[in-house]
Amino acid sequence: MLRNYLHKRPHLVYIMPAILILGILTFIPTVFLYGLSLTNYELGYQDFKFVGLDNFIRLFSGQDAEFWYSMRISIGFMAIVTVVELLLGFWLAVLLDREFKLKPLVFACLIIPIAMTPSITGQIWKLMLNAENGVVNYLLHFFGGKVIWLSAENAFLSTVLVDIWQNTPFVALIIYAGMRSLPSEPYEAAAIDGANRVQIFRYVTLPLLLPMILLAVVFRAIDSLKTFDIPYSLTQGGPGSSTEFLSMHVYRLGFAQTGWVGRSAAVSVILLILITVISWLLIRAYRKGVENRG
Amino acid sequence: MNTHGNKKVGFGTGIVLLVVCLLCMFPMFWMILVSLKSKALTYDPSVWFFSPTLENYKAVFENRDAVGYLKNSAIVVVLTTMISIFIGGMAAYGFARFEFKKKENRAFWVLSLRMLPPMASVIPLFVMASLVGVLDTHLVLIVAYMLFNIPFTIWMMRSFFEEIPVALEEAAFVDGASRFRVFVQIILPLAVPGLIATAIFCIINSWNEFVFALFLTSAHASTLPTTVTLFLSVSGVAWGEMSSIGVVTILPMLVFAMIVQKYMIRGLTFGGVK
Amino acid sequence: MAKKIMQIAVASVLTASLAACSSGNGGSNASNSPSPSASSSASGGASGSVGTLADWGQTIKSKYDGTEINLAFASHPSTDSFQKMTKEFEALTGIHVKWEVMEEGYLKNKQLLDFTGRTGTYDVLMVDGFWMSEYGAKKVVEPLDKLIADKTLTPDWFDYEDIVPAYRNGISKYEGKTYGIPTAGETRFIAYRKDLFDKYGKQPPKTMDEFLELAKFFNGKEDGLYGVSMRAQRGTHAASGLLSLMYNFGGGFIDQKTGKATMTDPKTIQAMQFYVDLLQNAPKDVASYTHEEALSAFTTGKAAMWLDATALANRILDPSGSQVADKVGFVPTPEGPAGRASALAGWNMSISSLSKKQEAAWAFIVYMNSKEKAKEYVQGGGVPVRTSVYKDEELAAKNISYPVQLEALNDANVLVEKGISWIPPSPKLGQILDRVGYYVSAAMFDKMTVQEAAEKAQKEVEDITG
Repeated sequence: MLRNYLHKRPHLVYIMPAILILGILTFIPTVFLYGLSLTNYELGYQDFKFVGLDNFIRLFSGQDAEFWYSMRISIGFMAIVTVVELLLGFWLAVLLDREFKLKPLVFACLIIPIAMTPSITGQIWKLMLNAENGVVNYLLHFFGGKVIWLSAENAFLSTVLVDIWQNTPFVALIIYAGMRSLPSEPYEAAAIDGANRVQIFRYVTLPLLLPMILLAVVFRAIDSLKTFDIPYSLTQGGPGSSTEFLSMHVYRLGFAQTGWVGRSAAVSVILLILITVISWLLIRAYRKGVENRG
Repeated sequence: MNTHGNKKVGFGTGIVLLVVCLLCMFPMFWMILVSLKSKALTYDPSVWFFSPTLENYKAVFENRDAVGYLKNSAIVVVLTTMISIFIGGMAAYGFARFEFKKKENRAFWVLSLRMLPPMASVIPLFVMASLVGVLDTHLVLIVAYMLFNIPFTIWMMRSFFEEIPVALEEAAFVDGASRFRVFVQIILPLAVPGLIATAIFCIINSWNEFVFALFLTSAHASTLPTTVTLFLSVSGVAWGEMSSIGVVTILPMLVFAMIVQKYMIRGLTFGGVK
Repeated sequence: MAKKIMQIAVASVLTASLAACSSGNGGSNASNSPSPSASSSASGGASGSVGTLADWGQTIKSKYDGTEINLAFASHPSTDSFQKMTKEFEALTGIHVKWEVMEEGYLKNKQLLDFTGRTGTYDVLMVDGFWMSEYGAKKVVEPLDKLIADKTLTPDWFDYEDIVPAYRNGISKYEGKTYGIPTAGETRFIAYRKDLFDKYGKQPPKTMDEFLELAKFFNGKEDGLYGVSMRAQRGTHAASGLLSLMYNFGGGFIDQKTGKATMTDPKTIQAMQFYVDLLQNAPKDVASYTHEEALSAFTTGKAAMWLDATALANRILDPSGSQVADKVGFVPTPEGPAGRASALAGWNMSISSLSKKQEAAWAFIVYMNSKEKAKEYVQGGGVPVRTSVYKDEELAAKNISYPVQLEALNDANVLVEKGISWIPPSPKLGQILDRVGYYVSAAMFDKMTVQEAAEKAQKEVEDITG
């Protein structure tokens, strides 16, 4: 019976173990999360009530003073970080796409930010960005500059900066890898047609690289919406709400200081929906890019 | 392979790459420097040359049981990576080779699991682990890390399997081999470079994971990244010790990444388009 | 749509059942754990003498040899000192101690998660005075009154009465019951740069007005010098920084008798305005300062004055980590419009209500916090809570801040006598601090005026206290 069933659906044998494990690990937490978002549950208490959509109403009606702002800066952060990292990464990939002896050394350097443990790196960055005793300002003072990195005006940009440091190499490596795998026929054809470099780049390289670029965008967009380690160690969401990203807000509401697990779950649900929608759009574009090319 | 990779490195490019390298390296460099400084010098960024002290490393290994954390990290990372690669690789093959209803939806669902912020899933996972009674074991982290490792593997490996010509398998079928045997004996060996690249990222991600490790484990199974909380003391951050354990944490990854550099970069290509 | 409804239904069943089974566990757990009174009579009958430390050790060893207790402690100099004393304790009692040490924010998360999950991993918890009301209300920790009163369990050489009364009453009680033994006390005072004050012929501040004036005076007086340094990071730190001044203005977050929010009380607003004005004379990124950054700004000579915890005085006076070690003086928190007052905070050791080894846990607490061991503890770097320690001449000679600490403690007692607890006694304190801390932080850089911030904070605090 089962054998027969599986025989008709041969793919199940392969994907079932993964689906089962992931299902248990995510279905229950997700359902749990949706459930919690409808309660007034508080960490450490035994009883709770179902409060319907109150937690969501609280968020959208502006009763939660920071929610809309968090939403705005989270999306802003995602957009800025993704675009900047993409451009810088692309540029870097182009620079790397040539032969030279020290290339493995350059790669070794690029891998450092990827491999450094974020929880520890965040603390080191905080030490380095300290306005009075940080090494960054120490180096800047030779050029007569001094930046208050973690002030209300600059804290957001500082988190952006650290994120760019951490993830640009990743983007660069993906795009570089893509460039190395481009087929040579289109270039030969273009050369025969007498296309100039700009034209080749615009009409040959870019379209061929599109899936690679989209892949990088998907990864960065999803991960930057979830950014937590860096703002947590640098500013704890402050000063004011200047770095209170949605994931920080989830933490602030749901964990020890306040313990509003219910409200926190509501923010998580919204964050989850936001990420899902954005990535769904991006991934559709990605698959389309792959199909067009292949 | 490509016609535009033969450009020479000009002076300008050289400078730019040098700057990029310095920028990437600097926090690591600074961390090593701080780890070798005595306490009084930590907050003095103008001191670059000093007689280094190994006090901090000694403290970390003698009083903080760095070896224990190292062992926990190694066990968890190796096992979770091996299991994830196998299970994820199988699923990736399933997605690559078969047509079935709602395939794209399911593939998307798999990827979407990456989207759950760890902060949101850690409370339910904690409760689940507590009910099953596996809190503070290596097992709980091994399983929890599959949550991001398996989707990543599926995502990376799917396109890669799609690239392997179907003809290879069909030849084997003609010889009467079962599909599963073909998968294990023919497809997997062909996919080794991709598998290695995937494994590298699984290893790095698991090694550095913080939130799950912090909340799901305690004295017995804690991993290296959680040690950062030891040093954020009420009466001051022990920068020296924190940096030295940071170096201890990062060094194995870095050495590892250097060794497998080639695979890593090559592998990224497969994940994308090829 | 139908799918959605299903999901919700499943979710509700799931959460309800989880809650049910967890509370079930809790119930059985409570009945399993020996109630202190019952066990104490048993031990009283069977046990030998506990009059001296050695006898007590014998008695404990005969009962709990080989027991393992688990600890969840904060990274704190006192913890380091306790760890140094652990070997001796293990040898004496045969109890094995398993430490888990982490940063305070994570510590509270772990303790509460462990409690919520009904896991009962920990036996002894290190609890911040700020968390005590919440832990008491949630029953995370066990009431200790009966244990303290029982002479067989708490021998005379422990001497509970020797602990500074302000700490006993101020940081370890909730609704009249004792839930913790104070281990590390903290009040707050000002450290100032003697050399700078001498150079410009200034006297250390006695009143809040002088404090502000001096901060303004020194700010920018020399290259790279700021007037003052304090903690002000968004959240608990900002709220706690404000607290260290507020009572001197007569303000408060909540009315301690009625529990109503008093953020818009003119005195509270005045204190908030003062705090904001004062920090205009601090390093520009003060809004990201925890005690760590605030302290390092002072110890590297970037600030003329510093107001924070007495527990940190050691670091200012430690020449291996401080560049100003030989140039500082200390004075108590200045007098404000409402008179003298000083902070009263600190850490406790408590027994987890889920612990199945409560007596072994108590033995650990007794040993570590006893008067007998107090000197060893302080010499190992621990932060004192005992009168006998403050009066110990050998110790006081080593630390010039002791007399001022005692003076600050007397100021703190002024509040106690007024019937005010420096730590607002509310089980919702964590939430209040978080919200107030946000608005204070927002007021600090002109995002809103102090008045606006106070009004908004009032609304949120009202919402929390109900």
